[in-house]
Amino acid sequence: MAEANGFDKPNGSNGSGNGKGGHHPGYTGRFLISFEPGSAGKAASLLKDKAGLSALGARDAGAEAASSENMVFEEIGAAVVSALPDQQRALMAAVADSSVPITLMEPERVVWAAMLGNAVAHGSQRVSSLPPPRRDSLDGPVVAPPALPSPGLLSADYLRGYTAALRGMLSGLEGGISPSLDVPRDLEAAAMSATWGLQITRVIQSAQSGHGIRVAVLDTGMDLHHPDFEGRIIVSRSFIPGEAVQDGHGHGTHCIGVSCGPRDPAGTQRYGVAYGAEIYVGKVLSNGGSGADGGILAGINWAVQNKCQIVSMSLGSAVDVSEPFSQTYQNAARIAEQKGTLIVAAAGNESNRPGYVAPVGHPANCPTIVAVAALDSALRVARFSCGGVNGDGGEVNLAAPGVDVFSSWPMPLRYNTISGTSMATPCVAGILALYAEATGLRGLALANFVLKKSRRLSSVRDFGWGLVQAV
Amino acid sequence: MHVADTLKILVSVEPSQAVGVANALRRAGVTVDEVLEEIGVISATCAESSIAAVSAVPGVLKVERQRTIKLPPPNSPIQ
Repeated sequence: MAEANGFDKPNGSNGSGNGKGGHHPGYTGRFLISFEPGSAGKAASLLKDKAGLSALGARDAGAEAASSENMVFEEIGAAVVSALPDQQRALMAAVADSSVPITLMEPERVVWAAMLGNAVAHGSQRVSSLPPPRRDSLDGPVVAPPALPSPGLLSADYLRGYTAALRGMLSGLEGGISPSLDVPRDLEAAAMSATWGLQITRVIQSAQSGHGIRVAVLDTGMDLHHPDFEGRIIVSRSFIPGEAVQDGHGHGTHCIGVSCGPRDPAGTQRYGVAYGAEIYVGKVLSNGGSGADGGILAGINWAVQNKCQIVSMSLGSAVDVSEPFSQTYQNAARIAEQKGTLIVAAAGNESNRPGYVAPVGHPANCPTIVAVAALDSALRVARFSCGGVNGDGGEVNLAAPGVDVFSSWPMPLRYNTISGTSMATPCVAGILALYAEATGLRGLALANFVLKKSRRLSSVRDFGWGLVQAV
Repeated sequence: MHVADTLKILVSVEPSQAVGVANALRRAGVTVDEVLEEIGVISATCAESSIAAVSAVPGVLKVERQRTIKLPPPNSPIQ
């Protein structure tokens, strides 16, 4: 049957990883510096005075100037420099000092030609030169090099947050605490006062909030009294006989935090993606953490009835190698998708890598359900993360942060840091909500759009299309 | 009927036929738990020995056993 049920697959998805390309860290190790308007003429001497850096002015540089030179671009008030750790510190101090006209410092990114537009516009042309598409009528393998997302938005909030966090980092330095300068991750994390997961998925750069989008989280419920969610639109229902929605486990509250946490939680770093989304809490797992398919499907049914565009399910059970997916869940997911509801589920935590890679579990192994794997802040697959061992829907579609994920937890603990494909899943759900808001896309169209915007990593078996990206 | 013989099942149907099939299941002695019309699923409880009969009910596309999902305890580092 030619009906499109599943997601587009990346090139080389033969279940054993394509082994191509290796790791793309995405950064060059150099830094972009911005100067206040009108101060560009002083830029070179500022860099020398503050950080001992020699830089060539672009006006003076000839065509033979090496691209690796420190360079000041007077016309646009920017510079690109290589800086040793103590020079980096000096530059950060200069940024934090409002009397110095150096305003911003960020890591230089590697940029490829944006292939995405071509792939979308000429998709069928590209596919015709490739091997025939696999079953499930996924759009077909796409020959795209790792396409990085378009440059992020530098809003005033971004710059303010960046500067404030740099000041904080500097005061830590002056106090004798020397934070690890494992640039760029630590630099950005310090700068943005947000979890590493929101950094690396570029949620911070997104202009969207998920406003107008309903995200259903089917889990152990929620701490409905958590202070970070005051004022949010929350609709809830329990599908566990004898138990209220109030989360007596913690898992549900954590997942809701990751997918929909606030933009500016008081006293702590940002940890949530879709801070403007409407939160639909379906308690399908008991306070003891267990639930049956019947209750879970009732939760999905409720979410579809309520026109939730995204359903996040950080739950599942192990399957055997070659075990087929649940036809009931697949039918339900397909019908839901046709009605504009996209379901995302955790790939599962049964692996014990490197020795044992377990197959993606139920129900994430359904072709029409987005299966999310977990990675850590170094972009390594998490030890426990299930892989695309089984075909026929059992592929990993996408990967997201799933190791040491900070998010909300029932009071009084308030926050917790845990790991799991359970944490990666709501991150993808929140990002899908951002794109749903931005594009108006729904269902499989939304999913395929977001899959293709992800940051390709080395193993299709472990990461699918790669690390989810919000912009 | 021994409790040990009963199990939770899922029945897939066309959404538009959900109510009708649920009635037919009840007439066949099956306990219908939920009729999920939006997504074409009926959850039910029946004896293991009744599964074949359930499959034969007109409009039933598929019958499956329900799985149980279990999370680690709240203090587990991996969730």
